[in-house]
Amino acid sequence: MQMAVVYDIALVSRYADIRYPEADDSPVERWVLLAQQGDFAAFEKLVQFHRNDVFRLAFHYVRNREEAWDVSQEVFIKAFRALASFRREANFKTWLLRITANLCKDHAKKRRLLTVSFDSRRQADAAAVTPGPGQALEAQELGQAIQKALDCLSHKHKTAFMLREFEGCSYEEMAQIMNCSVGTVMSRLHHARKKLQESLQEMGVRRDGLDE
Amino acid sequence: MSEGMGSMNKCRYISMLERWFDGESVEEDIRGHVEACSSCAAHLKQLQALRDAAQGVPRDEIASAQFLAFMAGIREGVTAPEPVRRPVWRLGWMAAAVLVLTFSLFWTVSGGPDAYEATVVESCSSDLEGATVSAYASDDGVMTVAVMVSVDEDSWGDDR
Repeated sequence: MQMAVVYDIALVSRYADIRYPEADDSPVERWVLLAQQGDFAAFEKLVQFHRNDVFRLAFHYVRNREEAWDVSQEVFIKAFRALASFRREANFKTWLLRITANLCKDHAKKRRLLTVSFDSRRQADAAAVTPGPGQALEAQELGQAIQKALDCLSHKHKTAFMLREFEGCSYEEMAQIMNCSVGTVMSRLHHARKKLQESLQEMGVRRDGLDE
Repeated sequence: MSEGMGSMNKCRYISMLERWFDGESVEEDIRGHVEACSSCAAHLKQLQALRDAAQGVPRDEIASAQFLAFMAGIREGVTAPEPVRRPVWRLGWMAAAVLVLTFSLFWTVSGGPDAYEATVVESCSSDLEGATVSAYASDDGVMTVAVMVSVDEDSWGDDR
């Protein structure tokens, strides 16, 4: 199928640092360079390649497939419009995840205005997963408990935990995504884990290692 | 009552242990330390339990078959005109400009403070070329000394 090519003259003229793809560039680097020069087919390849990196993270934030779908599309639209400002110092995936985290933060703010207050939701959720005495949770239930415990974290702590445990990002990548130092990443991750542990205990989750 | 993750581990190796657990490079043999340190061993167990628990969190993906539908929404979005959003700092500048204009208008209408009248009581020149010293006295008895130096480029001559 012939790919449509959209030439955004304004985008190209804004981009002062045009570099053409070279032989040793990775496919992603090549697509980024071509997309920066207005090649929409190259951008489409980038979307295809990174769609699930973005969607997975968005889904962990919003926990609803339709909303994660919309947010992910918004991420790529925003990325396309901001392609000229991408300086290739960071990894393209890292850049996309940064946009995703920021958009999900905005999304959460908007959604908070429409839903019940945080405290009442937290209490309801905690009550819903509290197991009986000595009852062990299965992996799925434990996963749900973790999700609810994540609700108790700040956006920064939640992002640190999700990038590390769900996306497998290195500290350096996390620092780029969260726009902070590696030391701050370590601190956020430590506190996120500590708070999660406390929340799980409050929920009465019993599992070897988690309730010690 | 059981203790939380951070509260029970006071070992100075805790930070290094977490880095090692997350696959980052560490300077020392942390594995050897964990074998010898019961609090670090317990902390490591908690980290692993939390990681295992996180594996149970539901995940979702966009299947290849859904890609065209996903891309269609993006294509529609990028071809739509970009919404114009005024950044907050621009609103700040606008507010500042309105304040300055209001203040200037008030100043103009009210005529500003009364003109301060003073008379020169003494004025003299100095050895320094182009410098003048003037003393002013007002009716309130306030004395002001003004030193005015006019410098033209040639006055620095070749000394510099």
